[in-house]
Amino acid sequence: MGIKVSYLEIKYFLKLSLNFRLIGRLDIKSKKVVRTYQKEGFKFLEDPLFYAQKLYNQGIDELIFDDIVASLYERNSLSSEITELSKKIFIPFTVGGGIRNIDNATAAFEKGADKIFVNTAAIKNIDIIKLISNKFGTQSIALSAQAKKHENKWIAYYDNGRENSGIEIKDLIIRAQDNGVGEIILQSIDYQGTKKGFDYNLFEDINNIITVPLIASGGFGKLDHIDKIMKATSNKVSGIAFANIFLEDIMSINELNEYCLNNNFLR
Amino acid sequence: MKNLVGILNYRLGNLLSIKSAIEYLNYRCKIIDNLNNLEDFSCIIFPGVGAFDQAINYIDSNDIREKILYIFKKKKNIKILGICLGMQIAFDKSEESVVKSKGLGIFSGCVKKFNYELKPPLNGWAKLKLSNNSETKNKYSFLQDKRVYFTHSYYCQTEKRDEIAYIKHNNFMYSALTIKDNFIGLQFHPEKSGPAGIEILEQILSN
Repeated sequence: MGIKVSYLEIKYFLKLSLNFRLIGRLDIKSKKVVRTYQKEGFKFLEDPLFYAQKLYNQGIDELIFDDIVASLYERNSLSSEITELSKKIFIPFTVGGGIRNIDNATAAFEKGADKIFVNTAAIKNIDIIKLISNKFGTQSIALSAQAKKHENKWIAYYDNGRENSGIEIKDLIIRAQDNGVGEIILQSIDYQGTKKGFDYNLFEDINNIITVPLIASGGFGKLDHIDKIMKATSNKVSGIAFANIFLEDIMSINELNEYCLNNNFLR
Repeated sequence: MKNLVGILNYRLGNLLSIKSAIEYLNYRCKIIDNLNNLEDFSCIIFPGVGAFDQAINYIDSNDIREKILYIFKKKKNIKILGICLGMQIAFDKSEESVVKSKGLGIFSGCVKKFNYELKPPLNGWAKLKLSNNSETKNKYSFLQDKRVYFTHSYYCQTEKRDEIAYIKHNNFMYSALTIKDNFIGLQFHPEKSGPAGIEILEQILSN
């Protein structure tokens, strides 16, 4: 009896006792951070280092760097920036945009990425996930799933939200998980940049198929959106990724931290 | 400039972060290329990338086991710092090993696989808790409640006398920081744990 009870407790508590993750997302084009709305870049801002340093000083947990035009031009140009950042900023970096084979992935890790994400490459050939996962471990590879609603289904988009893959987002997530992906970063294209909250229906819809850590992205603008995404996923979501709230100085990481602490989302 | 820190390279991924963190603390740091000069370093790091079998295979095919155990036993002024996998290889064995590789045996016991509802790895932040060890408690009190970054699928439970800090999930606990003589094992990544991690690294290197 003892074994069974303690096993259940472990299962239950390991999920809850990991700290809720706050992740800053930097969309980068021509070496500048850009503000985006529904995945369209519309305003060039400062260098990535400026925001990365600012967020690091405020106590952010992780950073995502997305070279948003890379897959279109089939190259990722963030390497030198990542190397520079890794000399000053000591938190995990997830890097992506334009990573399409094992050589690109290897180069990204050598330049200082801890994790990479794939989107376009995974839609074209899901084997990329298995290759990276087998070589560098499941923790090293995330799927960036970008969903757009068509009638009552969510479809996976690629090339930074420009192209319709015709694949349902659920099917893409299942395939990625079957191939050893370590994390799903799920973003609603319709809600991205709107600050009106996450697409809760989307997250409710995919919740029961998720078997790896899930990061919610697209639409975060107010503190109580955290509570709502927790409810929509029955507390399953591992963290949130956001951009506009710090690009527009809407709130500080400190405020987010306090909100999480006050609401018993472990920090 | 302070003493020289060396990082072993099992050729399995990113060593840049740990090197950057050490250099940030004004230590000289190099990736070890000549394994005959291990005694030139004030600290030798086993980094936390790759898998148990790959790391042990590298260690044994390059005659590192004997050299490291010599330093562990005879050269107590040289620190050996194992991070994540680098800590796990210091145990007797691991459930991760498919070919039953033999660990360094500095800590006794077997490294075990997590069993919980999401697929491993456990990936994220948690707070350190200080072990109730009268000899070390005061010296390491700065570790208490430090928030650090973990990414691992396997965990260690060290003998209590070697454990300095642990992680607690309800009533399930595993070792986060263990020390035996000059070997220091960290399950978390100090080079990825923000300012708290840098402080811990600095304390370890300067102590």
